[in-house]
Amino acid sequence: MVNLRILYMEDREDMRNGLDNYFQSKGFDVKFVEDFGDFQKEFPQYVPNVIIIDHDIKGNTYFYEVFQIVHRFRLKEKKPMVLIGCTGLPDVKNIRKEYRIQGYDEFFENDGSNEHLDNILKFVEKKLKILLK
Amino acid sequence: MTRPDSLSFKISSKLPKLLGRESVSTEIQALFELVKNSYDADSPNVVITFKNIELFHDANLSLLHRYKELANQLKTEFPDKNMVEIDSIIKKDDYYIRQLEHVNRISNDTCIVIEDHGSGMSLEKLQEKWMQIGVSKNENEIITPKGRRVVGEKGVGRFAVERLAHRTRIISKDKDSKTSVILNIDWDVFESTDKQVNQVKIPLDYESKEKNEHGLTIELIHLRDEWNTNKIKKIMDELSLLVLPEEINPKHPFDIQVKYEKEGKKEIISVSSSLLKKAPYHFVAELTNFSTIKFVSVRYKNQIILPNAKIDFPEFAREFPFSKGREEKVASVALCGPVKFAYYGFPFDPSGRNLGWTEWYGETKVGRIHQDVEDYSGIKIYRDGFRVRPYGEPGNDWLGLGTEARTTAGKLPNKNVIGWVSISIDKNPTIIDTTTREKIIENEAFEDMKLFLQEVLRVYYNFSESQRKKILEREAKKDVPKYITKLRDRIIENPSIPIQEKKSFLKGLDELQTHFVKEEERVTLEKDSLMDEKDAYRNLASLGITTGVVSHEVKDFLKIILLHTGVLKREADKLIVDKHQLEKSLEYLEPSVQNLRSYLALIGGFSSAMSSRKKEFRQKKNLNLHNEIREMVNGLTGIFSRWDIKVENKIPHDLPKLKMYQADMQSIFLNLFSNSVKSLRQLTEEREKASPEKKNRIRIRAMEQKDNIVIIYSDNGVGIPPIDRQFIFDLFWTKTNLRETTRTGSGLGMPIIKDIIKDYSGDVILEDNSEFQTGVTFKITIPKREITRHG
Repeated sequence: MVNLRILYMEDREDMRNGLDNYFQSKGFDVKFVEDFGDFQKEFPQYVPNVIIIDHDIKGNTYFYEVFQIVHRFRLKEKKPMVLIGCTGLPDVKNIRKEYRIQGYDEFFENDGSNEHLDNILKFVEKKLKILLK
Repeated sequence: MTRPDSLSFKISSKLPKLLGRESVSTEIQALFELVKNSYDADSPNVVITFKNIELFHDANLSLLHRYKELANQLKTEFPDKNMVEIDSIIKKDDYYIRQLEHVNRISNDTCIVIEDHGSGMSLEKLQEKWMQIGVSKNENEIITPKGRRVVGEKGVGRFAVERLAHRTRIISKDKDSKTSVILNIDWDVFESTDKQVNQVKIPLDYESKEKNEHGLTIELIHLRDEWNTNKIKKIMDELSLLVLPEEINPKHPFDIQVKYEKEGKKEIISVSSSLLKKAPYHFVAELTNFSTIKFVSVRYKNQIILPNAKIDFPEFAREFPFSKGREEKVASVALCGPVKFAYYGFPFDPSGRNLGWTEWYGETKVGRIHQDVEDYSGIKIYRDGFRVRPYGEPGNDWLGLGTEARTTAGKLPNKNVIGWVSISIDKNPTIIDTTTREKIIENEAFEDMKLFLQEVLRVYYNFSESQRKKILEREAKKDVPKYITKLRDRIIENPSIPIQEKKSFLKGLDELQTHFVKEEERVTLEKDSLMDEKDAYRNLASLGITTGVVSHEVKDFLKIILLHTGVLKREADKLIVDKHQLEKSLEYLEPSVQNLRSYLALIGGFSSAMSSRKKEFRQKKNLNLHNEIREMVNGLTGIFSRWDIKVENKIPHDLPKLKMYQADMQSIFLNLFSNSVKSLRQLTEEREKASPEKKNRIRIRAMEQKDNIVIIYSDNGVGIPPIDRQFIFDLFWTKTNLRETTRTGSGLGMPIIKDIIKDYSGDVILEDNSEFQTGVTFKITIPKREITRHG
């Protein structure tokens, strides 16, 4: 089976290391980008199945910009992609609202625990199943 | 032996000692009595000269020093000997004996000379008045020929000399006589003899004098007490009440000069009047050339209200236009020209009430002051230093102070006020005398001058009325139980009330009194407790704000811990463990655990500092600012490193310790750090590749100035736009960060900082320019007297 590809925007090295270990153990290939510039470079080449962005990238957020790029690509290439955001911030409910309005598939609380990561994966698998039908 | 049919009193020669040393309590009081006699003798002046007192003081000090040295030496050499034995050995020491002889020689030469130019006494007057015990020379006079109220105690003055010295020489020059009479009294003779007082002969001498010479000179030789500069200052303070202020131009002024040696130099000091200094209410106001009114100085008791750096009474700080008008007052030109007005108000306790004024003046002085004020009361007018009559003469209330007055209040009647208005011919040409020169023409210029004075008094009365209310409130609080006591006494004394009813009334009054006292205590406790509560909430709010700001970072610490414990678990379950991954995970875990630990230690420390607010632990600590900042920075290390913020603690280690509640100190800096973190984290990305000086920075400096401790806090964050700068200390004002989708500010941080600093009488301002090119600089100034031990 070809592994599904995740493009994950995360600025912290320690997080990237741990997430890599997790997703690899679940059979995903993960590519990490540290910032929006990197994302712009890697996204058209890597063409992921799943894009996960952390809400806080070096004190800023790029959820709008990322959506624009992904949405244009999805429309043009007609390729199914799951687009989600996540955060460790406490104000998940309000941020989720904004992400959904923007057009994201979902937004998750992610405190680094297996439980939260499993939630993300469950959703991704479910969504992909639907998209790939 | 025949039995006598009558007996007469005999008077022992010990009487002078009884009336002198054993009656006149202090040497200062004794000297004061002698000067009072000069005043009563209508002398225009008195000169008091202290001779050889510094010499004696120095010699005596050497003697004492020698004694102490020997005593210490002997105590060490002979630990078994008691002080009596040691004393006896010391007194046989050669050096000590020589020094003692030297001290005694100088003591014999110590002298106070009191010289006046009063009427003096002839030989007959000396015999009939001075030498007759129990008679004052002015027994039937309460006013002297020159109109002074007699101030000396009857018959006491002469024995004040016994109190002061072993020997007294009195040189009396009567104005009508060609001869001075000199009396030489050796008081030791009275002590050593068994004769009666009238049997002790006092040698007399005579010297010729000029006819116009008159007055009394009293030489007090071989003083009983050691005099020093401090005592001389005390006596001058007492004497200052005998001197009237120049400004009120007394008819027969009394000048006092004191001469003494200080550090080998001769000092001659004229005693100046303290009467006006005793005025609780005082101000000086001016009507300027530009027809504006301003207060130049304001004092209430010992508090100097104006000029002062910190103006709590804005009504005195502003300059306002002179205005007049029948129905509506409008700013106008004052036709009188520039005028200066000085006011001294003297309230007194009414009979039966204690509003604190008697205590203020001094129980022994209040009577004298009251009388002087009444004698010299009124608001006078001086033109180029000369009195313009009849303004301010006794009974002349030209400003109408009497109509609005209450003696206990700030609105004092004419008889409780000494004041003067200063004008000049040059500057006030429109204020002119009548042709008979009996008074000033009451033209529009004169009316304008009166309007100015009345307006100034009106503004001042607002202040003095508020002081009066405070006094009355305090009095009422103290007096309720007293009124209950009075009522109690009335009930007890009233025979017409039946006993059972009396008992019932008294029981009710007791309960009322108890209730009142308890209620007062309860209110005080509640107030204290509310203040504590408010301060505690303030500190808690700071903790809450910081927690809110750094919650993301704190969650990040947890995120790493949770993520990598997951990694460790997965690796542990594998058959082949990836050692490299294990090491990596542990490497990532360690700082997160440390950072979380530091942060929790900071929070824990804050909570314990909060307990310093609790009543039972209420204690400010002497805090080393450098160390406190260092600890806080350590606690937030993870957060600062997350956003690549370098904190420069440039506070000198030797800055004086600050006496503060630790929770307050932490609240101030936690709030400042929180704001900086919010500001700087937005710039972390763009400064990633910047040089070290351009990366995120916080700098804290502090310095000790003459009167203040100054703390400068700066960051190179996004700064505050000019339009928002005026609001930053307002409650609940926040600035939304455009790059963040949620508001992170509570609007409490800066107001809390300002509130805390105000509690220490300090202030915080946002400087116009940051120390760095961007960001903010806050300057905190706290008076040293509020915050350091030696302030």
